[in-house]
Amino acid sequence: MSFEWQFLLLILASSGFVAYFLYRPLKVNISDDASNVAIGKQKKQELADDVTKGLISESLYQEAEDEITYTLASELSRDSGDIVAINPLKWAIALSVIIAIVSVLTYAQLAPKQGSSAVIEMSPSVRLEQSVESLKAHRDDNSENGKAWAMLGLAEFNLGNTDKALASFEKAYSLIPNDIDMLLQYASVVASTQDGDFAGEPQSLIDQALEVAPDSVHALYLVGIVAANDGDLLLAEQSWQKALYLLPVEHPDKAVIEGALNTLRNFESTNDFTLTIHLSISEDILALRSELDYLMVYAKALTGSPMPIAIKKIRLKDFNGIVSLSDADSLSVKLSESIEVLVVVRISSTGLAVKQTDDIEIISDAISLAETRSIDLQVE
Amino acid sequence: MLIGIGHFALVLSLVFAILLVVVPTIGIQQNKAVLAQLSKPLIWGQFFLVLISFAVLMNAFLTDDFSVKYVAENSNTQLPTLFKFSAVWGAHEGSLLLWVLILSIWSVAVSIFSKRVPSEVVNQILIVLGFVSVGFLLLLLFTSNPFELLAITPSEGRELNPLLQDVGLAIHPPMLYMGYVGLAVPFAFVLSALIRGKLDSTWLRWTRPWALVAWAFLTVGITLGSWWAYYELGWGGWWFWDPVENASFMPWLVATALIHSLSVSEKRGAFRQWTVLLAIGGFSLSLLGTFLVRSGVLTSVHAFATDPTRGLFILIFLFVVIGGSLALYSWRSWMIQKSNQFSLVSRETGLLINNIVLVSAMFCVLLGTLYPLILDALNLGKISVGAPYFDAVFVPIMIPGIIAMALVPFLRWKKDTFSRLWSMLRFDWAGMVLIVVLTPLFITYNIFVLIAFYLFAWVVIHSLFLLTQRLRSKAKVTLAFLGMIIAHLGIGVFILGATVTTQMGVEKDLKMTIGETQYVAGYAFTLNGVEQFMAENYQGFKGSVSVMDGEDAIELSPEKRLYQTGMPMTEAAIDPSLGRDLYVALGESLGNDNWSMRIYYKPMVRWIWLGGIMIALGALLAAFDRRYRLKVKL
Repeated sequence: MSFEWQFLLLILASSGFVAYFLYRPLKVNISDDASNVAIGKQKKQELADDVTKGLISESLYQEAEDEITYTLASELSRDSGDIVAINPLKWAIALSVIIAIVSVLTYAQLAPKQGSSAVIEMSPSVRLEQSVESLKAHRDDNSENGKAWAMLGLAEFNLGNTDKALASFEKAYSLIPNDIDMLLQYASVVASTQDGDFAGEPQSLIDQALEVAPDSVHALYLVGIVAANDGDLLLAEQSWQKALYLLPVEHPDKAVIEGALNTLRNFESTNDFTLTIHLSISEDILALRSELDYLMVYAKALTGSPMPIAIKKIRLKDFNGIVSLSDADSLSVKLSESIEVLVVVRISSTGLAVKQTDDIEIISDAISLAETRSIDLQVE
Repeated sequence: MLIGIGHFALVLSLVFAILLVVVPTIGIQQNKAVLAQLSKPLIWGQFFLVLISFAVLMNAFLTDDFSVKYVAENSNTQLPTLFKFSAVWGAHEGSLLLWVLILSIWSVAVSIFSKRVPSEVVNQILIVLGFVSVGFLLLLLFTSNPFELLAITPSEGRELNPLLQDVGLAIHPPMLYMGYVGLAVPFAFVLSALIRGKLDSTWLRWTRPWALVAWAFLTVGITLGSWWAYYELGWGGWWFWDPVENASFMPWLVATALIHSLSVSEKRGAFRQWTVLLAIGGFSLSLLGTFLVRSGVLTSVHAFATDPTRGLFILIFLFVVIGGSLALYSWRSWMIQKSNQFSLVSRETGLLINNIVLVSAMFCVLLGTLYPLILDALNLGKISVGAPYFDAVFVPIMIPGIIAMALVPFLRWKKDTFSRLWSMLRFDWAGMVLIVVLTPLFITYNIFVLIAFYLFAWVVIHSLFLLTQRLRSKAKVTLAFLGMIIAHLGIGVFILGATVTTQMGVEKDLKMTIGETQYVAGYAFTLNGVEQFMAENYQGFKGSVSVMDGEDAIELSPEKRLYQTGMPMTEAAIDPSLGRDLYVALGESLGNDNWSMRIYYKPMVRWIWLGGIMIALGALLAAFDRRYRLKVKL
């Protein structure tokens, strides 16, 4: 039997079921008044029992009985009016039509659309590969166009061809060494080859960009990240504050920078006891994961309860290389009260508390909190 | 193909729920009895359709139909059959379907077991329950569809969360949901009374048995959860003040207040307004618990879902239910009959104190649970509220409540005197004074254990005296009375168990070499060996530990399991008894035949769950009291 027939059968059975009770309605129970009278009598009987049990003094028995009588009198109500008859056929048809139409329309809205997810997954990479091809063609026609080289570098990088990306950026750098966007993109790509570390070449590229355009918001943002990585919280804050000041009020990047500043302030405010995790995630792994995946970093006791002591859970897109755990992230036991912990880093598409099949997890060696406040971890 | 039927049946059940709200309402408004009486068939139909959906989903699990995304994510071919059953509610979508099914079961039960309740009341109650169903079915169908199909069917599914691969967890959620959802019934009774504008004796009388049954299930659900956490999480804790545990505990506290308040309202016509608010509050807290668990705002061992859309939906529904109920209450509250008079010293006052204590305790738990979330939401920083706060605030609030709990049953309705109480109980109190003086000399100096023991003795002495007094009198011992005695004794048993195990338990995390013996609380634990083993869907290590208990030898086999996800699970080995548990958990291998081990001595830990069972049993006995089998002429 096909889907349609089964659905039709269900609709017919449902409609028939409802229609049956329109023609043969269920018997009515007792009325309100009969119910209240019966309960009133029962309450009086219980009151008499209570006197026997000594649960109410005899002197108050009459008063309590009067209260029951008064309550009953106030509850006995008006006539509820004559029952109005209905035309069962009309209602049966109306309800059947409603059942059929609403259920079919709702199901049509919710019915699974198979295959769509595969199409969605395929399209971005196909588009990107096509873009690379067209950029290559454009570059061949304009081999001295630095912008074209930079765009090609970025596209290659997004496809995971880091070597080709670096070569393209090198060429772009030789052609347009003072282009801010190119410098910052180049810095980011080089940093990614250093596990997200901006030290060295990336930092000098960013400095160069800042020299060319001291008010470049993007450059200031990256300077802040580099400074925060180096533990120079003051410079990080100054850079982000300036970037924030330069951005128009409604600019969408404002929220990103404000978020970074908040993280920094929380970090500073809880700095009395903070375990800083310098975390690098390999490009290979990042390429496999969605930016909406969760990065969960938590500390748990070396022995005893397996429950996290302190936990941070962020989206991968919000990850900036540093995760700090402090008492503010503690669940019940404070981090500062712990002696030795293990730090667990988990990348998860679900963000569930329990590790899933496709989660990537690494666990640090035992960390003595009395001696260590900063660790480096790599997810490779 | 069957999946489509399950999905369509769920859609049809939504249509039935909508019709349940609309058609009987028209019938009641227009005095068309046939339409009003349609509420029962509609709820039966809805139940049947949800049952079809549930059966189809269960069949998908049992037949390893990985074309269904939910099945593929939570089951695989190696999963034992029992856990394929429980996997149905092992994650968000299925547990929501279970929620809807249980709501239908409660609604059908109301429609069947309310023959003594006027039809108009029953119809209105079913309309309210139908409205709640509509909310949850919309959430289920539009944000959490368990019948979603995968574009490409995988040849194998993922692993069911290993924590859930346990018998305790297979029954804990359904029991808890029976309690959570059961609170919808007293809520529906109250709302029906408010909507009809008839806040009479009928709804008060018939609300209480339903509230008692729901409360009993909630108690069993919480108790099972605590028992499971104790043996499954591998570190011997039984309550963590986890926000999700709190989410189930808050409705329990309010429901406890409700069943006591109802007893006054139905018998003596007092506290009616308060009872209405408690019924609304109990179910609202159930919904709040659902929001906390399902929205992903919590980081917890229970945090199953992380979808803000679902959270937003539940939040809106929460506001509709709470806001709508309170608006209705403020509109209709003038109709509620004024409370009958009672003096300061009376049973009514005693029960009022009980209610104040319970509701204050609930607010303290609510504050500790929500405050960190509110601060975080407002970007005012992150704080954690854990056991120290709850122990410091909750326990002192409850102590006067426990003292009152034992005394109030001796008080008379309407008016009593302390002198009567004194003359009746002076010998018990003298006995109590003796216990207070002698206990530190013979048992312990631990102040917390002493307080717990005094409270236990206080409850036991008074409860047994009350029972003796009743047996000696000519009056019948009713199920309600017996239920009250058992439940109150259960509270005492719980308090003693919880305090003794927390204060006097011995916990050792040790490194043990094979052949080594360690002494914990006077017991000799010898690690005889550890061997590798394989089971149906996991492999692991099984330890062999001998414990010498005097002359007797006990063999314990703790396990360290590794499931396919790579998630290690500790399966503690426990030698249980009413007096103490010996608890051994196998930790990590430390090389060279060395293993980390957790060895716990847990005195009286079983009393915690014994107390829970006694409380639930007491509630069930009270719910089946003769007075709720009132004979009326139809």
